[in-house]
Amino acid sequence: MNTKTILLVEDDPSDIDLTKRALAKGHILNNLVVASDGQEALDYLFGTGAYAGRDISDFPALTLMDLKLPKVSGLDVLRRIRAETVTRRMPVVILTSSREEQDIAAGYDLGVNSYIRKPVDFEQFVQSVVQLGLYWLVLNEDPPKVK
Amino acid sequence: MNREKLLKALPAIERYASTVLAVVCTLGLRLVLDPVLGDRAPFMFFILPIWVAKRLWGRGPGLLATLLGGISVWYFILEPGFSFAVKNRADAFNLAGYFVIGVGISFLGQVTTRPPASLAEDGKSSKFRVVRQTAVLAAAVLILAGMGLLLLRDFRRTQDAEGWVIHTYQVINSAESLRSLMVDAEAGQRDFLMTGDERFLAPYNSAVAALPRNLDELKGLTSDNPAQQARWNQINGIVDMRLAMLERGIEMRKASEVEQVNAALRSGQAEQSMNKLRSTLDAVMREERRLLVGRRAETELRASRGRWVLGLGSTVLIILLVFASVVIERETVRREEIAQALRRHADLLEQAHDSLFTWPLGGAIDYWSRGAETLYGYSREEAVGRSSHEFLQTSHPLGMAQVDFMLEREGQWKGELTQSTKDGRKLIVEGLWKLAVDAKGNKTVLEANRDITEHKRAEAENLLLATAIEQAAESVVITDRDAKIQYANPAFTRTTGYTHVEALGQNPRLLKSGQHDAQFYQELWATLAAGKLWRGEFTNRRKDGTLYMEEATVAPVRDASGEITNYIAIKSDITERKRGEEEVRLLNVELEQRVRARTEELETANRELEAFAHSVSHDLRAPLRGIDGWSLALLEDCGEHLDAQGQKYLERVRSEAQRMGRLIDDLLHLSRVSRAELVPSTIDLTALAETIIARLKEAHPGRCIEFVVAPQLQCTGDARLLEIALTNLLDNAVKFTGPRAAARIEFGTTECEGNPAFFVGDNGVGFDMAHAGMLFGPFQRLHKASEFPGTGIGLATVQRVIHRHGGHIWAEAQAGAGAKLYFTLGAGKR
Repeated sequence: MNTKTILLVEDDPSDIDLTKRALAKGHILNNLVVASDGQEALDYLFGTGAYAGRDISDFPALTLMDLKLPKVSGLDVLRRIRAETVTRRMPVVILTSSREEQDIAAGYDLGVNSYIRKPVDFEQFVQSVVQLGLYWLVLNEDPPKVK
Repeated sequence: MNREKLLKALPAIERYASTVLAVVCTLGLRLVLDPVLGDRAPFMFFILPIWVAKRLWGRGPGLLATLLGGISVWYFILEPGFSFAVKNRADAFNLAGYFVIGVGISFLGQVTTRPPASLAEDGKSSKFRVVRQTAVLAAAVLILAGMGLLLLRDFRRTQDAEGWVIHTYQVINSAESLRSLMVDAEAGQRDFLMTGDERFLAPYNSAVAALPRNLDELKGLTSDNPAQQARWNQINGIVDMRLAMLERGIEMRKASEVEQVNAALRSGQAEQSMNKLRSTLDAVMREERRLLVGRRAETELRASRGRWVLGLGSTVLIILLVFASVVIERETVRREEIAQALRRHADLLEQAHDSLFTWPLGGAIDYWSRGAETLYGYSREEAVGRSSHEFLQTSHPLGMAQVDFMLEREGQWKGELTQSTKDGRKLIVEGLWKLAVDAKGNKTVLEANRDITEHKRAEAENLLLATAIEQAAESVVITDRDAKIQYANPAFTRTTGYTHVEALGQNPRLLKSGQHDAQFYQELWATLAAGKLWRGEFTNRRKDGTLYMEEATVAPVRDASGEITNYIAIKSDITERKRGEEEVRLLNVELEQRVRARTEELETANRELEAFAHSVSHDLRAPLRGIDGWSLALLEDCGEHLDAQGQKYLERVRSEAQRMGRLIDDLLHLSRVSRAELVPSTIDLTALAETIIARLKEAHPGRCIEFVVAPQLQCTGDARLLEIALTNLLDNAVKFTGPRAAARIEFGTTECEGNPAFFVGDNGVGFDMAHAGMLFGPFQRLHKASEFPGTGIGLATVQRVIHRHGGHIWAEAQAGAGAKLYFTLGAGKR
């Protein structure tokens, strides 16, 4: 279980820390990769920029991604993920503050696997993150790798 | 003539045979009458067969009759009979005359008369014809009478002459007888003297006895002639003397005085006396014979003159006869033609559409035309015999007595009347009445009425239409087929400045402004020529030179045969309207620009609002989550460094952060309700309410609430928005019934001003209606947050939803006695 990587795409340092704290509180000890903007997330996923040379076939078991991101927006990142053969089956969960309908609709249209709204109440947030981890990392069967 | 054609159609042989027969019959008749007529008027009878042959069988038979008749008279009748010799010139003349007349009759042209153009005109010439016919007749009678008188006188004279011839012979006979008696007396006496035998005295005695009578006779016969009387006196003297001498001789013989007797005998006195007597008697006879010769010549002359008179008279009579026959023929033809003309006129009268009928003045209808039958609906049988005015309920504004008076005074009357038909319909007729007076002075009214009811109605209608056109605000122009203006109404003058008189006869291009190209006019005329309406706008020029615009409809007018006879243009001056329209258009353009600008502004604002909402939901919540998260982290990680008071404060920080999160959520909710697009569908409100109620019951397990939901509540609206609204309302009801041990919440429907209204009622705390105005304002609360938690956005959201459905929401409440929130959903409105 520890071998599975979680990719967190989030620009708010407070949220990054809170998410890390929530994961820790939920005893989810998987490798956590944090990309603080959309471009960085793409670099990580497709082995470009700072992540050049990374084995891109090893994609994260779970990606938690905010929508509102610097450089490349969350929806654009998602579009890229679903457009690329290697990453198109990759589980992506949108974890965002927005409950705007158009955002939710756009996310699902682009093939997001889940859409979670971050509650203000931190205890609820922890609960959400724990359940997410449990579900995607433990219960859910990983998609087969695309050759 | 038809009759002639008919008769001439007989076979020729039959016609000629008939001619011969007619001539033979005439000849027979003439021969039978010959003993009576003698050689008088030999040709008269033969004119008849010529006439008949000509009239009945034509020219050829007429000529044949002439020829045969002439030959017959010539051979059989004229002296000497049974010979072609001609005894005297008069006969030859008559024969020639006969042939001329016969040929003339045969060649007599077809009598043609000009048919009278009008029977009335014919009446004028009839008087002249009567005079002429009478003159011909009188001439014939006079000639006949003259001829008769002449012939009678001649006959008498001839009779006298014959009497004189007989008279002559009587005188001669008497003279001869006298001489013979004297000879007898002389011979008897001498024989006695010589023999003395008294027997020889018998002749002497009878002669002496007869002589006085004989002398008297001769005297009577010659009493008219003094010369003969003188001779008679001589004769009488000689006879008396001789008779006395003879008596003396006898007495002397008786007395036997023979000597004396012989002496007397020898004296020769007897011889002398006898000679003298004889010569005198001869003179008498000679005189008579002379007279006879003279009288014979006179008789002969008279006979000849009689023949001439007869011949001439006959000729004149024949000419008159021919003339009369021509006149009669002409009259017959004329009468026939008049009769035909009358029949034609009668037919014509029957054909007339006008109602025609006649009635003797003051009497009943005696003629009723077909037109009258059609107009009034009364048949001839029904109408004839009835009094005109009463029958047809004829009436005139001045009264019928006035009409009759005028008719009698003027001889005719013309005017309008009202009458009634059989089925009671009122008619307006134009009457033309005439009073006809016949030869006997009888007055007949000839009443000709024309139905002008429809005409009058149409006239009134036309007047109405004409008035409408005259008064119309639109210009109305009527042109003939050559586009010459026939009529223009006052509006035309007002618009163009051209008067009616100026416009008449002009082409409408008078108004041409030059603003339209040739193609514009070509299209106009092509449309009209195709018989279609043309609609469009002209820019034309007024008389004063200013331009104006008019909206025109031009229509071609066609007659029954489809030919275009007129064009009608109806035009309204739209200069002002156009100006107004232009202003409106400019305003509209400006408005549109402003609207576009405003819309852009609004869209920008909307986008900004969306961006704001986005950032509110995203960016504002993140720090709140931070505040809450880190407060919790502080409590968890450094809780032991804080006293109970500090920990309580941190909990307050967290709860406030969470409240702000809810506020943000509610605000976003309200914003979404306002912006979301409506997706209308039919919604089962009852089912929706049940679902919400189930959720509420679950959320408030400790509460004892009685929910009453009316069945089958349906409406049209957006399902998601209505769920939000209904959730808010029911949630409120649950919230405000909190203090009630037995809460009762009802969702139902009622009637409000004829429209269905839904309501959610509860028996909760209610509120004072004085504050009802602020009920639906956002962040407005009627209760303390400590009593009933809430953000104050719930009812604002509900109101937004209801308004977006075109409905209303209002509340009825009483503090402490519950509240009832009503809402309607606009029927079909969005």
